[in-house]
Formats: sequence, C-alpha cells, structure tokens
Amino acid sequence: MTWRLFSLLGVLAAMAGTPAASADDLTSSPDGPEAVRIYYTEAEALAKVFHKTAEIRAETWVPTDPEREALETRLGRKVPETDFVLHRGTKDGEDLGWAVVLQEKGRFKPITFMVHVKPDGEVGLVLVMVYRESRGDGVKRQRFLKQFRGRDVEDPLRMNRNVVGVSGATLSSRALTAGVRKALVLGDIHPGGTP
Amino acid sequence: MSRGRTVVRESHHGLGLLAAGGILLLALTGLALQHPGWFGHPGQRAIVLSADPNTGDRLLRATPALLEVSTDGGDTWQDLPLSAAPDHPVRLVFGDVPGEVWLLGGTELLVSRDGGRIWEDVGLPPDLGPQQPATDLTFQGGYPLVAGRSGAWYQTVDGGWENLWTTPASRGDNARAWLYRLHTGHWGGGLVPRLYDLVAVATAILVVTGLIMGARRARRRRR
Repeated sequence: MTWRLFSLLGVLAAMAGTPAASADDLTSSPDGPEAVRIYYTEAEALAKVFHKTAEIRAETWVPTDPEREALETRLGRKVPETDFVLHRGTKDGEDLGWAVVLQEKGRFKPITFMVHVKPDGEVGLVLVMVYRESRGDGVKRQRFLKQFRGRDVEDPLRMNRNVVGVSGATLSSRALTAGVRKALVLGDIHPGGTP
Repeated sequence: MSRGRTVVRESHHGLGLLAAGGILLLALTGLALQHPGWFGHPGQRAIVLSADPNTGDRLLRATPALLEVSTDGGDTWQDLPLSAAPDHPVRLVFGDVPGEVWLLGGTELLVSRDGGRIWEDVGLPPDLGPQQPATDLTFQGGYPLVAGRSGAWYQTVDGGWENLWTTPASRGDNARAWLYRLHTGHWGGGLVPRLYDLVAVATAILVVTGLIMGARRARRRRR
C-alpha cells in the first residue's frame, strides 16, 4: 500500500517538475529565457515527410513585389519573410510533393514547423520542428496536426471554425493554422503553379 | 438498531448519494471543459462592430476568429481573408489616418493601413496575454494605448511599450490564478491535463458503478 502511495507521489512530482510557467513567470518576465525543444532537425523532418531514400531538391524562392502583394492579399496579413526555401521530393521518378519550413509566432516565441503539400495540392504531413515557449507544446501532437491533412488552398482554415485548437495552447494552435494556410497559398502563388 | 442510529445512517446514505451526484457532475463538466472541441465550433456572434468614418456604408465586424466587411450598411457581409483573426475581439477602431483600422483581441493587436485588407501584428505588451487579456484600446497622440486588468501601456515611437501604470496583483488574484491552474491541470507539463482526464473518467466510473452496486445491495436487503 505504502509503495503505491509513494509511486503516485513520484509520478506527480515528476510531472510537476516538467517545464511549467508559474503566475510570476508569466507576468514579471514573460519573455524570459527560451525553453527550446527540438523535435526534428530539417533533415529528419524531410526524411519523415518524404522518405529516407527520397531525392530532395531545395529551391529558394524570392517572391517578386506583385507575388508578395498577392500573397499578403490572399492571407490578409503582412508576410515578413523575404524568401522561402521549398523542398521538392522525388523517389524513383515519382513526385512526392514539396515541403516548406516556416516560422510563426506563438505567444512570445516563434514556432518552427514543416508543412508537406502533396502533388495534388493537399496537405500531407505537418511537423513541429522547434518549440520555444515554456508551455503549449501540445500542438506538436499529430492528434492536433492531423486535422490539416487533406486540406487544400480552397479551405479557409479558421481556428474554432474548421480547426479545433489545443486546450491551453490557443495561440500556438492559431499560429500553426495560419502557417499551414500560408504554405498552401505559397504553393498556389509560386510561379508555374505548385513548386 | 436504535432510532438515532437509523436516522444517522439514512442521512449518511442520502448525503452520500447527493455527494456522488455532485462528484459525477464535477468530473464530467471538468472533462468537457478540457475538450471544447466536443461541442463543435462557437456560434457566429457579432462581438465588435465599427463604421468607417470616411465612407458611411462601410462597416467592419469581428466575430470569434472571423473578420467581415459590409459595403452596404450591414445588409450583406463578406469574409475578409485573415486566417489569424482574434478569438476574442475586443475593439475595432478606425484611426485618424484614412484607411487605418486597429483590431484589438484579448491576446493580440493588429493594424491595417488599407481599410482592413492586409493586417499586421503589432504585438501586445509582454504582460498581456492569455492569463491577462487586453481589455481596452484608445489612442494618445496617434499612438495606441492598451489596457489590461492590472495596468495600461502605450506604444512608443520605436514600437516598444511603456507602462503607464500597474496595479499589483493581490494575494487573492494570485490565489485565483493558482486555483485555476490546479483545477485545470495546467500546473505541470503537458501530461498533467491528460492525467486529469483519466482521473475524471475514473471518478465517473467509480461513482456510477458504486451507485449501481449500492442500489443492488439495497434491493437484496429489501427482499
């Protein structure tokens, strides 16, 4: 009986010890030291969204002024990036689609993630690569991210409309939703259609 | 058994049933609150509305996660493509400069210089956010002044925020913040809310099976 009680207390203590922001952390030093969690490097993420043996070609796209204007008009917001690195994957001559690494601000810090778009223009896999906030990393789970699979550029992607956010990570959920939408519009505006 | 003992026993039984009902309600509502997605998406409520002072028929309205424009005085509305529209819009204000619109959400401040077509995230003072949402927006010398529950901040020329005043959090505020964390499981890592889910389900199962077993036992006794 006693060991059961101690085991339970041990589990609770371990959970309490995981990074968490106290009320003071949030109010007095909200932009404090980063709690960086790297889940995937770029190479690992590319291997996961395509295939370990896939041939990957990277292309840096610098949108022209009219392209940037079209991008901002379609997204309804300013786009701070000056260029985008688009990765196209092929395996045995088969087109596996393309992927882009984006960053969107969560609460205070940017979230780095990869969006994979299949050749038919639908979202494939979305992976959170780096999460920097002290809490809210529930958005890294596929339970949330798989909602984006199969969505295309015609889908408006709105939090609390057709995307359900993660409880306690509203801003991170919204950042990822906006980021996936950005990736889809990028693919639509890229010269010559999908990159 | 004496009459006194019977009364105590009956009262205990009645109170136990009442407490079991309360615990069941607490466990199930707690579980439901942790998973807002179970109830679908919130309804389309007009939260904030503002008329363009330069063109009388042009209106903007912000509902949760949606921004819409009307060019016919509000008869028809068109969705504006802002995928990061605030979940809790608080104020929608047309600025003095033509085309300038400010949209304050509980956790963000956006500005558009072209009448609402393209928005830019200005960012709120670091003290404001989900724990302390922004509550009001006004302008001082052309610069935004944002208020929250515990103070107000104005934007400086370089885009930073200066604190105008701060009301320190009382012991009660801190206690309430901790109670909230304790109740929702947001005091530890990402696993704690899931543990709360498990505890809620286990509690609900225990209460229901306990009630069933109690009812069976009572039935057997009556026989």
